[in-house]
Amino acid sequence: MSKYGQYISIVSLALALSLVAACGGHRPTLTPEDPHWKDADDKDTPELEFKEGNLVWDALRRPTFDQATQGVDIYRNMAHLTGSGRQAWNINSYDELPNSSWYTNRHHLNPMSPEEIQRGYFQNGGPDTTGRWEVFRPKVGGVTPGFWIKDRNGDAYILKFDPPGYPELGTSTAAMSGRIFYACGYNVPEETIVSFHPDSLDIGSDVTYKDETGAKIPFTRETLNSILERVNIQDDGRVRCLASTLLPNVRGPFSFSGRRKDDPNDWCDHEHRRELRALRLFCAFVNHWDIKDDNSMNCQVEEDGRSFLRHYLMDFGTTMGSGGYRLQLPTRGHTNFFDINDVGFSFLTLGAKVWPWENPEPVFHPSVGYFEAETFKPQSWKPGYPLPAFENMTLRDGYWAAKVIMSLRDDDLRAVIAAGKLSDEGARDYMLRTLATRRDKIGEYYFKRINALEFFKLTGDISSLRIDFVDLSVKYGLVGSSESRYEVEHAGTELINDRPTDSPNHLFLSADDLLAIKESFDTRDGKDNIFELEIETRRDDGKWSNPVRLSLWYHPEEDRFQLVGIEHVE
Amino acid sequence: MPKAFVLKRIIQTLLLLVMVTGSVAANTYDIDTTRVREPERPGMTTAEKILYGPTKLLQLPFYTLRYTTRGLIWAGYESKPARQIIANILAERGPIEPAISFGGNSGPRVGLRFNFAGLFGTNDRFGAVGQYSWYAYQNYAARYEHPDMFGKGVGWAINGSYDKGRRELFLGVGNNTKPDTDAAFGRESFRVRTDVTMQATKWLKLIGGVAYESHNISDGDKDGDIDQLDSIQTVFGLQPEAFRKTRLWSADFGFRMDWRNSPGRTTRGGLLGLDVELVQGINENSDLKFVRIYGDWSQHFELFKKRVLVFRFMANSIDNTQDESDEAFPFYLLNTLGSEQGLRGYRPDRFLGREAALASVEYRYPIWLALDGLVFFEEGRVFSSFTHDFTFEHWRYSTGFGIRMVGRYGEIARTILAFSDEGMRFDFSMGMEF
Repeated sequence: MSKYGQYISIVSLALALSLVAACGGHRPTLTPEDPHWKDADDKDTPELEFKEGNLVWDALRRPTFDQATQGVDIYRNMAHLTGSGRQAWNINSYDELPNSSWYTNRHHLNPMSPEEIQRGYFQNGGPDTTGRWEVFRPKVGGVTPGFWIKDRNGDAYILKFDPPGYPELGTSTAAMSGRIFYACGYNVPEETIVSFHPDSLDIGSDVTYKDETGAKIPFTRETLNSILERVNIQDDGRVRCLASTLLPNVRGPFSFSGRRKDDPNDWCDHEHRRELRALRLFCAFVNHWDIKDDNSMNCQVEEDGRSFLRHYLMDFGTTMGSGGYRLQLPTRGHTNFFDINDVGFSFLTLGAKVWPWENPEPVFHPSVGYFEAETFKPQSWKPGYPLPAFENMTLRDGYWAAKVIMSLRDDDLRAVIAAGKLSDEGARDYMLRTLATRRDKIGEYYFKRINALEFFKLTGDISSLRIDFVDLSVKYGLVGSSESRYEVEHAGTELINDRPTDSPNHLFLSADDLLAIKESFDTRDGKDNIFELEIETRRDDGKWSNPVRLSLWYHPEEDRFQLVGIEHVE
Repeated sequence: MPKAFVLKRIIQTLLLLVMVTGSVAANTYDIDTTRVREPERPGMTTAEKILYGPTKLLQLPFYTLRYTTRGLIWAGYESKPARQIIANILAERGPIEPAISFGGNSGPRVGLRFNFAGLFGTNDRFGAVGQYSWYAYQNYAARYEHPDMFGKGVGWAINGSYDKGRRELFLGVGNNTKPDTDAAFGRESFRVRTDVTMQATKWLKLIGGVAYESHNISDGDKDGDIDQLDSIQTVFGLQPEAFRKTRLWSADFGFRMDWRNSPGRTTRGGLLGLDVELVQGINENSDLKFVRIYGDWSQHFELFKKRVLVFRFMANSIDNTQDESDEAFPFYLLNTLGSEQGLRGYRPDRFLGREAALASVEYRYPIWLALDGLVFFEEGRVFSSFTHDFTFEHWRYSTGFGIRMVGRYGEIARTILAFSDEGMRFDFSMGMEF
């Protein structure tokens, strides 16, 4: 063999070994202290400086440089090929997310009442509409009009409006989406829909704005009127708006990749944060096509004497059927702003493929805009431009998001829609149908691919162990309970074979099974009294699912089992 | 059976019963937020460690390019004029647009186009464009139009243009010229025109106008070419009259029928233009008189979902009242085929003749929001006279594909790779026409 050939052989062997190793993935070390439910990322930090984002740079680098560097990441690509992509770094041993400065477990694990969902994040209940408002900062340029006001209590808000001809569109979608993101666990600003009469606005003293050349121009009543000419005015002359509280102590947007180096609490690369990876699916749910660095914010907050960064999502005006200043385009969600793959495919195939956005559904309600569920495919939903965190979303991340979204039942969605204050009953019904269908499509897709067994609870001891769990597919009506069979294995040995369970779901392990299992780990040094059970599920299609892997810790002195780990195997 | 065993089984069964009847469905996990994790970045797996080095090596060029670009973008982002220019470029029909083209004899041309609306009324528009090329070609044009100046759809427009090229290629007159016998000449042209338009119906627009134009011809100055007009005269047998500097005035009348459903991404309808122009030489060219007729018809048929077939037929004619021979007629006033005039697989002005005809079919299909792919096939040829030597033989053809960017008002940019028996051509142009 030539020297050249030898090099090639060595490299090939290394790659092959890496490929095999890549298939293994990470297996976390479990302890009786698991699972953890809070990340200590709220430690006191010094005041951090404001870091401005750059829309142009983000729009350029995301679809180009980020994609290119990902494309030559050998490990990442091998892991993807073998279906064992890097799992998120910040999950706990239950495959859930601990609370953190980024995320708080809400509706999924701490069910909220419909009233709480409708209220959303509550700060001070929105601007006081009984008094006059003072405009202290205008937003004259830009695509969407708006301005900042202070109510008579001195509370400051930014006001955003509905586009002309589409009453309630922009305000309702922003209010609804904000509620959904909040219920799903994200930090959002308080957003309230209110109406005001233009005559109730005063212009603060010495308010100016900058024109395109950067010159300071006094903000006058005429300028204010020119802003209001670009918004939808109600028949009674009032203006409906979305009043969004100003986030405190803003420190600039967060990025969907890397870390903020000056923040010691920012320990996890953002592309490996589950809440940011799985955000892709939440955005898909409400068609938040405009998700990007610039629609996020870091805020320096103070709690219990500690000062740290909390991370917010904001600006939901371009979600659901609203395109901000117009209807949402049918392409939104189906394709990136510029999608080189789709463009290349269409070009080479002479346009043979008709994309879903080329057959747009009709707009039934102007206040809902272009928002539909017919062509929605959760797995292929795309944001405006590729975000590294979204690109890293694994099936497990997606499944986690799916179960959070599925926890929003119809009553919860009605509460969300009520927050949007849609006056047309038909629009409300349409919105409910659309959201429910999109939700169920998300559930169906991910619950088919990941064994959707959750909320495990152990009862019993070494003589008999009962495992309670919830089959989410059954719970949410995606499959019937009679269609479902379960199988439990330990170390390749079937303990329970092809068994249905009543509702609530439960399975028993007998004393003989448990004693046999105990013997398998009694032979060790006794420090890690841990064993794994794998539960698989079969539906009417006859195929067994991937297992849910339970890690049980046996405490011999208390004759007690503790569930320390749950892994939904991809 | 031992009693102890039986007792154990009974106890187990009882326990089981208690567990079954007393079971509680689990619906959430016990979220104990006192279980705090000290965040720790996970270590790399063996595979990651092995592949870390090669991956970084592969990523190095992208990182280098990325950080260089980032610096430029940030610098531009911080610069207000740069931001303004970018905003103008991104805004469709903004006040400033780039005007870039490549593919002619001039090499790459770059310039700017300025658009202003509402100068003297609500509907009027003023536009100006300037371009300069690698080979010192230059062209400047300006147009003011007020489509409803006199009311009832009667409008007025004036435009002027100045072009200067140093190296126009000349391959002879007629259909059977050869590409390897090229020669070059310089040309300087000035044209000013004013016209009155009348929107007779929704589709029909009548156009009448007068124009003055002048052409100065000089030696081409590209090294290696036959750069003497005398040589052109010798090689191609042209008569001295074919090289004279011309000053012309013209009057024309025509119509334009536009029943396309959209001037941008047209899917249905057509565009038919016919113009008859009477041209008279002035000063020393006063003996030069001829009539030019331009006819151009394109028709769009939608196959499905904005996949469109476009048929185009074009016929241009010069009727010389003095019946001068082709060799005596100023060759730079002849009708041409090649490149954007038709037959895109050939260089610009490749074929010169009194009469020119073209038929083409183009398939356009959307590949993005404002991007169309296109493939085309076209045939064309020049004649001395349609009436005397028209034939369906020896037509030249070219084929190719490309991408075009369309806006609401028309085509913004186009890039094409075209093929003919004389090779392959790449054309790029950016910037809408007035």
